[in-house]
Amino acid sequence: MKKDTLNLVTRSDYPAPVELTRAQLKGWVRVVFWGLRVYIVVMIALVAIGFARGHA
Amino acid sequence: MSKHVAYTDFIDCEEDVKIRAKDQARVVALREKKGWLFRLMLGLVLIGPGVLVMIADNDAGGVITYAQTGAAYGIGFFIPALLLSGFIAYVVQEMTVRLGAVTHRGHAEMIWGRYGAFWGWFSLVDLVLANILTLITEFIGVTLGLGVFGVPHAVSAAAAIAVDVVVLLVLRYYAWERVSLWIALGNLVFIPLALMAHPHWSTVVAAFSSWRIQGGFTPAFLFIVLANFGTTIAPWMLFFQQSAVVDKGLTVHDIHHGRVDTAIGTVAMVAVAVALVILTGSLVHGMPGASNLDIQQILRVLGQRLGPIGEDLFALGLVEAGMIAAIALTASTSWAMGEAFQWPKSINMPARRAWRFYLPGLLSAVIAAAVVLIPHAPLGFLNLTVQVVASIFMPAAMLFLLLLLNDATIMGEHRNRKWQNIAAFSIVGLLVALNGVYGLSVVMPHLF
Repeated sequence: MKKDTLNLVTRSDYPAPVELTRAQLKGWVRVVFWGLRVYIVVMIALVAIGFARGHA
Repeated sequence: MSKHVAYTDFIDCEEDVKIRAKDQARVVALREKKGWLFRLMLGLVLIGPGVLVMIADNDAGGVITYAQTGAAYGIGFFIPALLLSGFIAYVVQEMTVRLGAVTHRGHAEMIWGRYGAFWGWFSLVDLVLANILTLITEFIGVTLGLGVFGVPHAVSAAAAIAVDVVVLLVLRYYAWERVSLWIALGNLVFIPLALMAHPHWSTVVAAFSSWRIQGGFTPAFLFIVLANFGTTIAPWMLFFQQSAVVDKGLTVHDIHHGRVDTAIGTVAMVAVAVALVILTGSLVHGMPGASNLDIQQILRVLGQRLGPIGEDLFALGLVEAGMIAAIALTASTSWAMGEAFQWPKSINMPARRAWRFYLPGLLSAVIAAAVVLIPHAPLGFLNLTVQVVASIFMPAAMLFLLLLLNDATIMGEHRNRKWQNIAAFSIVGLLVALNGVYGLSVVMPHLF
């Protein structure tokens, strides 16, 4: 089973995870996200049509 | 090692942090020593996430797809295409090494934290569903492979689940990684098999000068192209490698080794994929109905052409491919769930304290194994579907990766350089274009 086999190192040897704050979506990034939404909807529809017609 | 101080410094830390600290101490100690032997040992210690992700990408579904591709199209277009897809896989996966080493957070955690719950849920649901579908193909591979040796499907599925459970629950990260690497080594069995087929090497070389597509540019060909790209780069790979880098405790000092690790994995992945296309392209292609053979029929042909050893080795390769990918996918699901819901999220954690972390991954494996055992389930259809679905969702996963890699506040000096952005955006463009052409072929089949 898993054992606690700590070898002694300082905490500074293991950096903390970066702070996470919500990104502000502005400009082209906002456009890209809307493009992504459209892409996902279109592709799901196309795949559904493809499966219905027996392409896959 | 004056840096190393008292145990009390860690006494209030989570168990996974303590164990990760020990792994890091090993790396620090090796890095401080001089000489080629210690450098080699450092390389061997740091190797792992990159090789694992790339070899696990040559999963049972991948093996089946490559074998069917070789049978249907022979040695030609797909040999150089696979080299290109190897380059693409490296470019994409290298970014996850940097992101994980700089942020010490997994991919799901980053999407959730930076872009909110909607995209977090979208990515998580997409990943978990795709992982379950992919796991189904892994159990198809394991049951078909062991079926060659007369093992009943229920027994082989149960055995595969048992291995998966034991490896994930009993071993801590480093041991889990080492055991997985040994299993991954079995993937190379397809290379001697390809040599046993005595291929015409002049044909292999000629494949690079002539990108001729037998039968023309048809929807069926496009589907195979999508399936091949789908099996070479997939969303789970991004999540898996970044989480593995974090769980292993790699830091910015380890990025170089992470790149080498990923490069070694890429070479192995492409070598095996090309070997599979050469194998079936040499022995199966050209036979009546070769374009429509399923993997069992291909196995029988290999048995006739190479003898029982050839068939047995291929079957073992299929079992290994399914097993290593099942281990990786299970971990990937667990990591993503742990990151999204801020549960304990490390393979270093004991099962009793992190059952919520281990449960989703193992449950997905059990569901997949159960589906495979359903009589007359459309398994071949599911296999190709997985690859297509993965390639369609890949641009979305890539987009998040690219946004994060260009975020100077997070990545600092490790953010993407110009050439990396050009390469990565070209990959997204290629994927979108391929998917778009596939969509056109569905809506307007007369165009093709």
